[in-house]
Amino acid sequence: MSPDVSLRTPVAPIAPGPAAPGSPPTIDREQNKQRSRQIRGATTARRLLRILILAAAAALAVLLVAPVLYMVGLSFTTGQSFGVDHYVTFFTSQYYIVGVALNSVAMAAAGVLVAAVFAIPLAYVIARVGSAGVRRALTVALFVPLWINSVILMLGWYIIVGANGIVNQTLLMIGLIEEPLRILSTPTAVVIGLAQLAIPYIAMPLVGVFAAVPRSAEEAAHVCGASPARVFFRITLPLSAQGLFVGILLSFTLSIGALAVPNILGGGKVRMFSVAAYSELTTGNFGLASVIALVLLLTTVLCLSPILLLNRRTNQHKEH
Amino acid sequence: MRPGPFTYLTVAAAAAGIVFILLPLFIMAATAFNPTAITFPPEGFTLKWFGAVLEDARFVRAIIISLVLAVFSAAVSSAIGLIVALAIRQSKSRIAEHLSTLMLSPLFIPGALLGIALYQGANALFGTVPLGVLLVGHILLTLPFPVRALMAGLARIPTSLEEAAFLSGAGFLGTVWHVLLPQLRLHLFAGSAMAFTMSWNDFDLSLFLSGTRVQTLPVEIYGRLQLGADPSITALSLIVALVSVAGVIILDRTIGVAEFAGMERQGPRRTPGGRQRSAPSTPSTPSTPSHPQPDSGVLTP
Repeated sequence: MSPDVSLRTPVAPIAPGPAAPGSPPTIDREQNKQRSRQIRGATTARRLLRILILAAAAALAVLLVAPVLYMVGLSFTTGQSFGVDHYVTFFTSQYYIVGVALNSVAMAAAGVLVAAVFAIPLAYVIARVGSAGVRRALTVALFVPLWINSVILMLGWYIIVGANGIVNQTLLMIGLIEEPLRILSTPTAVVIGLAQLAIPYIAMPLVGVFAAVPRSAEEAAHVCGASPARVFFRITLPLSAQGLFVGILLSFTLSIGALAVPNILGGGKVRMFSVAAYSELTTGNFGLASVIALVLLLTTVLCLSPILLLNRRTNQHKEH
Repeated sequence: MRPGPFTYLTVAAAAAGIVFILLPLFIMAATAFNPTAITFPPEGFTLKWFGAVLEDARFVRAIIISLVLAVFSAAVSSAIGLIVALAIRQSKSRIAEHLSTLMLSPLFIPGALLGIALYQGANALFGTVPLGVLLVGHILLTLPFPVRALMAGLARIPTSLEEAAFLSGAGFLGTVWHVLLPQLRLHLFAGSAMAFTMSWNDFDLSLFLSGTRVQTLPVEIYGRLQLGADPSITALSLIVALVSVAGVIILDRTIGVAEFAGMERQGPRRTPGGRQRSAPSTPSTPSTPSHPQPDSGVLTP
């Protein structure tokens, strides 16, 4: 067979040419490679796919990348010309640096911390519980904050922590307080809301990681006399550190950009990035809104890069 | 190990976590049946608020808008996702790789950020935010889910199957239709279900792109809450939540939520819906420790 096999030939014979009976079949590596290439992608289909990839890339560039670039442009525009005034405003003002940026970080960090207190035991129980039914029920429950509208979940907290909510009613009834506590529209309420939404993001990666911790290591520590708490904190948790780290970074990233939670539970008084950007946008201050959004984007990217690096390293590790 | 105080403490904390997750939902649901106001405990039982929801023109319109938006963006993003996942599998080009990264990025960038960018872009171009921009935003937002699910699904299909189809004389489209798609059914379903839910639930992006006339359901609920709420918004919320819960249950029955989230990374894994199928017809390769199969990780990075 000639080496320049037309790629349109529908089916190439598998046997590498007629071989003399009895003699071992000769394998032409070059020819085989060409055939497998031919099989993997018929050329017309390949061309079609290439066009589709380019079309998709172009569409994404226009719809996703261009608006973000335009936002960068806006952030550097003062009046009609280039200027860094908006950045100066943001980075020199107590209101934006402390009231918005640091406040967002603090809210997200507190929310993640509260979430971790619930999520770690929850993941551990899901990973270790004997009954498959219980495991399934717990997993489905874990999915609730992911699958149910955050506005609706926050509406639930709105009812619970409001002035006439069950928290205040209970506290008044048992006489711990004289007047209803103000929880709604305070940072406490926002932290509660953020924590609820963060739990699945911390617990989900942890379940697989906890399940992978060799039981023999735990049993060895137990046999050596370690208490269950010691086994957990000295063996299980350190071996799961990477999964915990990923979950915490991921949920922190999602918390810091939250909008529904501070809007509903913060009542506009707890300023986070998205809330501040929204209010700048509605007052027509596009430049400052862009700066706030870009600072948020930068924070997000910074938080996610360790996860991406970690993923890349594990992938490389798998390939070798 | 015998259960000791530490074990009980762990179980108690886990139970508290479940209560923490579910309590707001139950409280919210209970107030929907309260005849007087959004308060707990309820002072009676009534179904009148559900009737009030259906009589409220704005609510009904928001339900229709959200439904249409979710169906449309799920369909479009699943179609795009299928093309991109196939393209990435076929070609090993750099563009395809970068494209997939770009497509997955809305998974991590805050919805509000995407909303601000699209709002400003649309304002610069049209002087206002047309309805189409809301749709574009929702497609971008939902795109990562079908892409991830389908890429994971395709990665489980051995290339030898396509080669066999090709040798049997099937063209590219024939191979996709007769060989790949039947095996991707569940992943396609999972991806589009996830896309639907993300669009149906989205608040952050929609708040920026909703006009005063066209508002999605979560934006409408939020707006109504600002005006001082009666239990009709919790009745509406309960309906919305029940749609989502039904979605989770269907997903759990078809794929299994743990499988879906990539939680069961270790240990023997089953093929999607593999329990229902008889063993010989299951075409996927058996998992062995030396060849870990990629998880369907739709949610975890």
